[in-house]
Amino acid sequence: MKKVLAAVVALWIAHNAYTWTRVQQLPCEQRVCRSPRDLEHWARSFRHPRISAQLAHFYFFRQYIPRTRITIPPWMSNWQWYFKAVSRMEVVVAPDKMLVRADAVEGLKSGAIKRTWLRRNGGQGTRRIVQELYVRFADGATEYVLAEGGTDRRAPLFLMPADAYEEVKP
Amino acid sequence: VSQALLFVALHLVGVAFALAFGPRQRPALCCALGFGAGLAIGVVVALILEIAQVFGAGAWIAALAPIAGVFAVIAARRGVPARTALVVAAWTGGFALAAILLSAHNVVIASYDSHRLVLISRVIVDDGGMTELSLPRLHAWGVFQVVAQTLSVATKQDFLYGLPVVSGVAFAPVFALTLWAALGALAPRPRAAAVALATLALFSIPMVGYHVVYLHTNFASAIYLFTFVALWWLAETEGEPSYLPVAFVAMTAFALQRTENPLVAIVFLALTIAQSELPRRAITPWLAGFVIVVGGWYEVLAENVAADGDFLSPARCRTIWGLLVATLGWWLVSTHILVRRLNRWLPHALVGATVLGLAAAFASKPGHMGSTVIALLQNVHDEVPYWGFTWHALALLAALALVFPAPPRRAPFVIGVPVFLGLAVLMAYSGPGYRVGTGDSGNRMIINAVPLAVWYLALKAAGSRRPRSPGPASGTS
Repeated sequence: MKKVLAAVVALWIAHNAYTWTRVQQLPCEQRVCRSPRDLEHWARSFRHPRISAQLAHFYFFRQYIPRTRITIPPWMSNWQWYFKAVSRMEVVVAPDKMLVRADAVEGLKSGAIKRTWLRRNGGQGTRRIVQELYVRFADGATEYVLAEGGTDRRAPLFLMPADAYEEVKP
Repeated sequence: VSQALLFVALHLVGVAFALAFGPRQRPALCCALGFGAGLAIGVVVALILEIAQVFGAGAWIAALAPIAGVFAVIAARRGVPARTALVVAAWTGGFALAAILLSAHNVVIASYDSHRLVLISRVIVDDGGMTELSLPRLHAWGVFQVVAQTLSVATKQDFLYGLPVVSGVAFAPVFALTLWAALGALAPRPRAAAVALATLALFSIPMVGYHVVYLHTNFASAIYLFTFVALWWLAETEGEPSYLPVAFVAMTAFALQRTENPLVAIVFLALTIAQSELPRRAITPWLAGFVIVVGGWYEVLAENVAADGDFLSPARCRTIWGLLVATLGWWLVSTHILVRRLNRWLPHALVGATVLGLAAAFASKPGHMGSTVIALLQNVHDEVPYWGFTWHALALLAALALVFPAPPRRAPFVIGVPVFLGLAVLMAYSGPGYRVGTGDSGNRMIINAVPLAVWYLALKAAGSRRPRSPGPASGTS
């Protein structure tokens, strides 16, 4: 009986190996995408605003405004692809109406945003208070507001749909 | 490399703890348990600093270093034979090499949840601790992975992308060595082939591979729950309480991984500790420590989460820590003959309560619960191919293994696993229900059961000399 059990386990392991090959053949949306080409496809395939918002969310949430260091971190091999997805948006900062256009963002790598922010903050980039940060998709279809930022230097920013923000806006 | 240095440091903290308080008679197992235990200890220390809002790289190292030093002194005073020192040195060298390789490239999978975990950890790091901004946002996930990611403050990285991978790979020797020890406890000559086959079967499951590179809470939950149960089984079977300190560290880490885990922890405590034949003094302080850490965290959370939270509310947080305190209280009065008699019925009571709960849930929301179960079945039945035939194979192996006598102390496996799966279904009652998809909450949650099931089936089949003869089973609990 032990041999029967061992044979079943061996078959199971073999089937697991076969399953690995099946997983690789799934559409990109249904599996884990690792290669840059897949990631680009993945980013493009998710045109759903929520997913796109998360891509932006990941970038903006982790940044405090103002803060001394705003960089595009090099630690994710897929980061460039995330950024590429984000770069299809316009970013409007109120009240100064500073605009980071998609074409201004696209192609710029780590350090670009940092320089932009430092420049518009008088070279310091540490004392500025931002009330609202609008994120508008290039196609104009969806608008998001980064809220909760501003008066508290340590306050993080959160991304939410513009209509939802209107409801909670003080 | 900075991540790898952190991982090696945590490994050494865990090894020192295991050699000081754990199964020092098994130095290789102490080394295997090192990373998980060290990570858990490092996270609890960081959690305390973050609640006190004094968190930073320096503060964390300053707090952890003396604790590790105490572990090392205690281990040294108990004597570290040359062979043990050699094993520790060799294992640490191998672990360091593995940590460097596994941290060299970012292969981690990051979903929405992963992003949130990392993002909140960055907020905590930037704030120097948990504030009114970050605490309310911890109502939906357990705190463990968030705090673990804040340890990136001691590295040059923005987040620890090597953590899920190193944790997952470091789990393989824990699984194999505990199985080896368990088979050795049942038979004079444990079967290396059986250990290798079971370990290969577990880690060849594509869903397990997926979780090894997925930054989330589920596989870490599975690792720590397994560690607790396996170490408890060894402690009871060998009559050796030294396994328990690491077991309770693992249980603490498990309970902090996800919001539902404290309830699952209580189930498994009822199936293990309540049935224990070990000296009570070997259990009470560690159980109390577990309740204080986990219960204390839930009180902190109760004071900060929104009253109408989707997942945790103050009332739910206080219910959780109330149940934990009640569990400790139950244990303290378990010396009474009446309570001891009741404890024997606890496994049956758990089964009954789960069945009744499921029946009530299906009766009140038949459509919702039905679609949830169907989605769950579709997920495990090849609809989402990451599972392959895992669940079919486990069911077949369980049926075939019926011909072998049951190993002793099987309650956490034969009752704990089904009860957990029942609870997983019940947890969908108040939410939107489970859906078909790899990342579905229920589909992720059930991975907790897989290492336990594979380990138990291997133990049952390979631990017996021959198929059982007609008559009463040899299982005792």
